[in-house]
Amino acid sequence: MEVQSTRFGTLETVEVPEAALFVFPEGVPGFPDHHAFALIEDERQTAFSWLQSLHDPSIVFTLIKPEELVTAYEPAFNDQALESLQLTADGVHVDIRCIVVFWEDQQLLTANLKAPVLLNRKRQLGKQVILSDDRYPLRHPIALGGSRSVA
Amino acid sequence: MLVLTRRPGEAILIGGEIQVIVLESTPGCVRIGVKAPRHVPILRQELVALVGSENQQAVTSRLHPSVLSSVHPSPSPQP
Repeated sequence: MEVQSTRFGTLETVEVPEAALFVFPEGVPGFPDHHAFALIEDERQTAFSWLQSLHDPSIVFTLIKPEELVTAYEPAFNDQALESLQLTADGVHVDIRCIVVFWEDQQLLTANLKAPVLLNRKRQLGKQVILSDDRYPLRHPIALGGSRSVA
Repeated sequence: MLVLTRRPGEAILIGGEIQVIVLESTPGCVRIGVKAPRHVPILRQELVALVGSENQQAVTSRLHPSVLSSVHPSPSPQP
């Protein structure tokens, strides 16, 4: 389906497969009324994706895969989080993404490892879970600039 | 709001399943223990507000593709 998004600042229309639509029954913290989102993925930017609210084109989160940031991201989720995503059944895969914040004044990118977004692709359910795990910070810095050479 | 006075060592029960115990009380600080079933999420309230404001900040962030292409994350063992 066609989704309106302002992920890069200007309004654009993005084609998203039906399988990339997710219901967030509880909304997300700060946006409790936003229950329907589309996951926009881009093969040119596989580390990043976007979680676009279907209620408002201007409500869009940039997401990053946690494995791009830490080698072993293994937070413990409580039963309530897993139940609300219907993840108690065996063999259901969950995708984990972290929300990116760009602090423009400091030219700094951070990722929220404290409250990852969980996506159950099979049931198309999502939830942002706040961890009681103190190992993971709310603002994990992401290196900007060409620290790695491009082949 | 229900207001109760409790002394250290005393507890209240919520719904028969959740027990809140006052462990220690010093000027300016109270240590509380909570016993609840595993399915009940327990969070510091300010953390929920903090995540909400972080999300508000996140939606004001617009990352131009040129910014994203300059990001070369290299995973570190520790966050």
